[in-house]
Amino acid sequence: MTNSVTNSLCSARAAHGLRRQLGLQAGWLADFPFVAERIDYASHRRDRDRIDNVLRHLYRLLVGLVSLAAWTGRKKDLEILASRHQIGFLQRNAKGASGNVINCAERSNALKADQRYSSVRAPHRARERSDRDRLRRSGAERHRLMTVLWEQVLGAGHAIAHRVRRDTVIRFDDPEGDACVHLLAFNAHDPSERFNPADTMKIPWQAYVGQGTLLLSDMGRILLTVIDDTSGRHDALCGGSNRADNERRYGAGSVGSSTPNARDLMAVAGARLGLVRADIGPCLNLFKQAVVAKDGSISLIGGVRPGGSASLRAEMDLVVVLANTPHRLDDRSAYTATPVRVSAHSMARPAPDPFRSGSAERGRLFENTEATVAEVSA
Amino acid sequence: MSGAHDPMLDVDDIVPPRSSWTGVVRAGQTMRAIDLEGNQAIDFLLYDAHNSVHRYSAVDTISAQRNVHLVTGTRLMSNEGVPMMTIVGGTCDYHDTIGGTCSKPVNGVRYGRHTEQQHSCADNFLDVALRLGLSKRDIVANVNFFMNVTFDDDGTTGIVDGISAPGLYIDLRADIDVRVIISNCPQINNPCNGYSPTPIKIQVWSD
Repeated sequence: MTNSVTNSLCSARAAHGLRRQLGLQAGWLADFPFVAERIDYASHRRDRDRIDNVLRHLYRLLVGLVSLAAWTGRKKDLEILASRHQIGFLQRNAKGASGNVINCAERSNALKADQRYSSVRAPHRARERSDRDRLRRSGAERHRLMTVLWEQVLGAGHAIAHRVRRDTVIRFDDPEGDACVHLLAFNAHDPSERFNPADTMKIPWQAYVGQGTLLLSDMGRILLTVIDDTSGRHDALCGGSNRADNERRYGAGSVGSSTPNARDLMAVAGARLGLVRADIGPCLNLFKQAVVAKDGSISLIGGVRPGGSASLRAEMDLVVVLANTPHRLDDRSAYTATPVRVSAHSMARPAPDPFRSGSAERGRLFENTEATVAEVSA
Repeated sequence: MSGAHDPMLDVDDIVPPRSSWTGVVRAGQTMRAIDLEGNQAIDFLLYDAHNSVHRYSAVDTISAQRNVHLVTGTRLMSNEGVPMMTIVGGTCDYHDTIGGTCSKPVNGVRYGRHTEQQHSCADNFLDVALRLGLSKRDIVANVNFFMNVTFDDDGTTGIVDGISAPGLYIDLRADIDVRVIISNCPQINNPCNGYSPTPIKIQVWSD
């Protein structure tokens, strides 16, 4: 045993010396079997260990740097979050402490903190959103559309109303790309529960409706989920045109005219399913993109985009009212709305539901919706 | 702050925190809402005093002026495109009409189930509307005076504090006879009221 160790050490030393003399690398030397046999497992190991050690240190350094970077970023986020939340605390204190007078310096600090917050957080949130979008895109493919329940073409100046069961997918195709479909949705069992743009936008803090958006009622429940979409910016801010709008722009706006307005069309269509005029509130405008600038001004962008489509999944039994008329910010003098194919499909809901995850709010919205669905079907 | 009007005030009411107010403002009259202690959102609905189906519409107001902010000069439009009231003055930069109301179910979704028991504007609106013979179907998207809603380029929105201060007011002149319903917002979970609702004052006068 001792001999063999000594031998191997000697041979290793010899090989090391030889290698030194030759100025060669162990790997190169190993190509010569007679030399390789003589040398050099120990030297090999030593070299390998040395390299391993260097690599290990490098790796540790790298991990250290990465976690330091992550920690710094996170700390900054946390600091900013804290300062954001301090807005409230500061002012509550200021109110109590100084006789309902709010300290202007504190206010402006808080405001600055908030601006910092949005500038730092916004790209981060955008990244999160794009991750979620990717998930949902693959999620959309998991919805197996089955029987077509009905389909029809919704031309310019027309409106339809349908009862739609939970787990139906309503698909909209706009092949020519210049449609504006106004959509209203009501709980079929209690039409006082209806589409609420404010809650739809403020729960996710996102004004534009796209894939993954939950279209909410006023009752903290989901009416429809956008499971597939090519627009990303459907408009929930502007509502549908009224008679005064169309009379101003086209000279006529009544239902009987050739340029009917969205509001009256939807009132008439909805009336056939039991709705009254007072039920026709703010609608969602599919396919037209209205964007808000920093100063609050709002304008249409996007132009004509052929081949657009959107698929909405019903989360409860609904009454849906649809109309296709020009967007009310559309300044063209011609009454332009290209025909849209509307089709309803039955669907097997995938498990797990890819649109359910993402935030605690989404989870609670789905729970609320399922609770009411269970109540109705009990 | 309104001393000049005092002798001729038709209404001069303090609305305590979390409560509601309703009244008719006749065409030509001016209504002033005063944020007495600062940082208080006022949720506001309007109906034609003679035909409740004809009512305030947030989307019509936004579309008519092509801007989401309500400022001096903004006309609050009805769902038929008729101006109902005009903002004729005030000391707050701008106001919101897309944030909607707080409600019990939405509080529960946003802030956790335990907040479902808290007071909300939706309940205040309903309470008043029901007494007036209206129903839940008549509650529509509202105005939030003194509330700051911000927009990022990517559509990210937020309720941010920072434009309101004690004593700020807004003056609205009625263009037609209107029924006003106000909820002095009870929300305590976000900065719209500085986490602590405070009283407001409503005054109405004829010029």
